[in-house]
Amino acid sequence: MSYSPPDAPTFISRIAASPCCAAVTLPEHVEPALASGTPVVFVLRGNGLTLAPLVRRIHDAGKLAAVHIDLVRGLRADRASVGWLAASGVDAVISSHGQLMAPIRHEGMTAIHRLLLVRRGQLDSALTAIGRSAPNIVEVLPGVILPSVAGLLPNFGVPVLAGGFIRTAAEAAAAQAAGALGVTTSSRDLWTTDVD
Amino acid sequence: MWTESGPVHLPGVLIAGDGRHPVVPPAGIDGGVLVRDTELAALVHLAGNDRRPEAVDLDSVAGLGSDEAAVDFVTDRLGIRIVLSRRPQLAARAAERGHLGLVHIFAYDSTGMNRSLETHPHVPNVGSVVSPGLVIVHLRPEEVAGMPQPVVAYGFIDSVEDAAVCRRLAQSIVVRPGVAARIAAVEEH
Repeated sequence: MSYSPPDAPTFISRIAASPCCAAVTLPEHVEPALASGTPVVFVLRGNGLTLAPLVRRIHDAGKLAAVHIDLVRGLRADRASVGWLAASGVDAVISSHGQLMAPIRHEGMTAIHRLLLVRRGQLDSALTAIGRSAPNIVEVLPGVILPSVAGLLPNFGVPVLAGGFIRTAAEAAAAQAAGALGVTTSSRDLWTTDVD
Repeated sequence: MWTESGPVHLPGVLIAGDGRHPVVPPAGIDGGVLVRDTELAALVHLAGNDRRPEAVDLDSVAGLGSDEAAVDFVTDRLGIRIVLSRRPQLAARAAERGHLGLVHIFAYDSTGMNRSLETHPHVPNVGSVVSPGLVIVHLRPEEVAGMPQPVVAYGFIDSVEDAAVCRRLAQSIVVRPGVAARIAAVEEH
């Protein structure tokens, strides 16, 4: 029987209930993430071609799996690889490529568009891309500067996650105070922290 | 052929301009001009002015290639001695020619930053551009110290307060003209 990921509102509600999410970048991070209180495991590295067993373990631990399609090895960020991740049981896909948001949603997964904050002069084009892509969630990187730049961002109409250099509970709380629904972090100390 | 040689002075404040609107560093600060988001013809025109820009963000100049010939052109022909690029080999080329190369270090998260640093050539006269610059405030001291020097903080430094903090951590910052004017006004008092 094939797996059906939760719809986007359900995925979002899981994060809202426990907003510090584990970002896994190394194999040794997997076990602590599975043992933690994180509602979603964000897989930011690894082999995209052999993800299915890891995704099953994440589900067996009662968590949801989000995979960064641009960063995992073995996959090209395109429609076919979106289908591959759907078949692997992934619940959400992260990408900086706006054109992938529609295929991700079409596969029933939650679409997370990464907004990379480079400099102000490039912000308008990035925001336009997000406006076109209609993701379910926008993830802002580096999230640690979200409190400083939140005034430059529009109301996306969808939840915002903050990721990147969030290493302390104070930084996580500041990101939430700046409007983030939750944070993604590789700092294990935060994975079970409720900053509300 | 431009023949200026010797050590390159990296201004403490680089003021970003697009080449279409005149940018002059305000008095009272160690300022210079960084040209970015422009076109090749505008860059050449600017370089012919009395006040030549100190730096160029090579990757953002429409019409200009991303190769060593482009580096040689902006340094040797246009006399712009500070070259920013996300391509390490181009920054290294500027250094080889006796100029200052700066490689963009994309600091969106710690893993990505470290990967970006791994591609840095780590040779003399090739420094680092932390993008976005404001994140430097949140880096660990050892992370800043581990970056090839000099370090330029570039991006989202939009207030005098942020500029002051970033200047304590980086050798140079990039700001828009209005921010530079406010920095100069504060320093004057």
